[in-house]
Amino acid sequence: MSRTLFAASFAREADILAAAAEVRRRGYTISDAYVPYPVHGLDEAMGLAPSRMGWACFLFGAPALVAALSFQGWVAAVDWPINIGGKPFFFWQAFIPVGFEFTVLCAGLGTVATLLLTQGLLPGRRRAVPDMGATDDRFVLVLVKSGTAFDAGEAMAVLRDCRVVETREFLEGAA
Amino acid sequence: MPARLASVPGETRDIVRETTISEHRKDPSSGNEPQRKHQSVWPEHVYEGHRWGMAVDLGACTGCSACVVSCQAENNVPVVGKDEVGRKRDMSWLRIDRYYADRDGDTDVVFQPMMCQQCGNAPCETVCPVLATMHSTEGLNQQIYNRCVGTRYCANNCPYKTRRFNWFQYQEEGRLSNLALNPDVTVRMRGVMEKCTFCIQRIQEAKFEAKGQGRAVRDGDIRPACAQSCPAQAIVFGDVNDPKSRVSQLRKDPRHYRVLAELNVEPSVGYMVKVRGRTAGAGGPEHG
Repeated sequence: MSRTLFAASFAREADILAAAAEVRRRGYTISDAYVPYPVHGLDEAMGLAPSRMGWACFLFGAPALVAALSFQGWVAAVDWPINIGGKPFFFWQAFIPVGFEFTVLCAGLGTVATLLLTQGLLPGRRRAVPDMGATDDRFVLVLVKSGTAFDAGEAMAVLRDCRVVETREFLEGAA
Repeated sequence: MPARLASVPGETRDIVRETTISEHRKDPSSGNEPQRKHQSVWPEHVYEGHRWGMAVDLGACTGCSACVVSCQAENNVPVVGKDEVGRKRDMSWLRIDRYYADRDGDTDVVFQPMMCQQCGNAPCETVCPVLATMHSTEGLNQQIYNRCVGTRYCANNCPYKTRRFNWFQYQEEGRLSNLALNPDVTVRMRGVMEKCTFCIQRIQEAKFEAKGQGRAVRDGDIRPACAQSCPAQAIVFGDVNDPKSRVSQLRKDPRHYRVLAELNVEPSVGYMVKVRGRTAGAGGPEHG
């Protein structure tokens, strides 16, 4: 069931930061924020938990490191041992560059794939933007209206204090 | 070239060592220095079975160059001509270094046949980016011509400067002289590195022959071209893992030393201190 959302557009970075902190203090639920560029401090103002993307990165990278090192070790010391300049067959120092590169490759691709899957950003999928100004010069804060204690009058007053430029209501997914 | 190389001030490395007969009679190890055992980061490889080695007697060598000529003929080494030799592009796998010393207006000479030392810790192998040179299980430093891309890193890293780069397609030039090529030895193409192989074709032949007769390879079965043609029998080749072989006996001789052994490259070729037939003190230099 799609929720009713309430989008408030701001003209300045400071306004959306103040509005986000204020509506959260008053118990409103923030759905999302749409901004033209990364706004520092907005995640704290919105009360977002630290991203778990680092764990996804680690979970892709660690097995890749183990796989790269163990495959090289198996090739060099077990499957085809070659005496190069009297060095031991398991010359682990030479495995480091390939191990590092393979770890970075798998962790990077895995993290991007995780981001696309968890955010539903698959190719061909269109995501609605509540205010096209968010791609230009507007800072849009989206509040959840349905199912929460949303007092439209109080909300409008709070937002007006924060110099809201434009507000609009819409159904989630319909924008 | 000086007989002693000074790398850092105060430290010298003797390339040739010599003594006089009177000193040698008093002390068989005169003129020689005991080889220090160097610490290595890695444990040494264990060579089971054969491990080929060579000992060259500087006292017997007269510098006649028969070994150079026979090596050239045996291993299909191109004759590059005067111009290319002038450009330091000579390709002989075995060269004879000469060290001169002034002795009261007279000149002392030491001849030193210098071929690939088949180092146990070969510096050339470490630097090859395409693994075109590696060690055999019998301690031979092998060059894989098909894999070589001609970076010449190995020659730059060789402390003995015994690796040779093939600048031209020599075998396509003299069609008639190609009839003289040894069919047992690969003809190398342009742009690859090559070097002394310890006459591996002869090693293999002796091993196959011994196997066919159901016996082990005997000491003296294998004679590389240089050892075979040396009129003074100054070059001795054999299995250093066999304690009874001649080369093993020579390795235990107090005159035995290895050139640049302090680099810890573990060369398989050793040299015997040159003993001069004169008494010490008669103006005889102890070191060239």
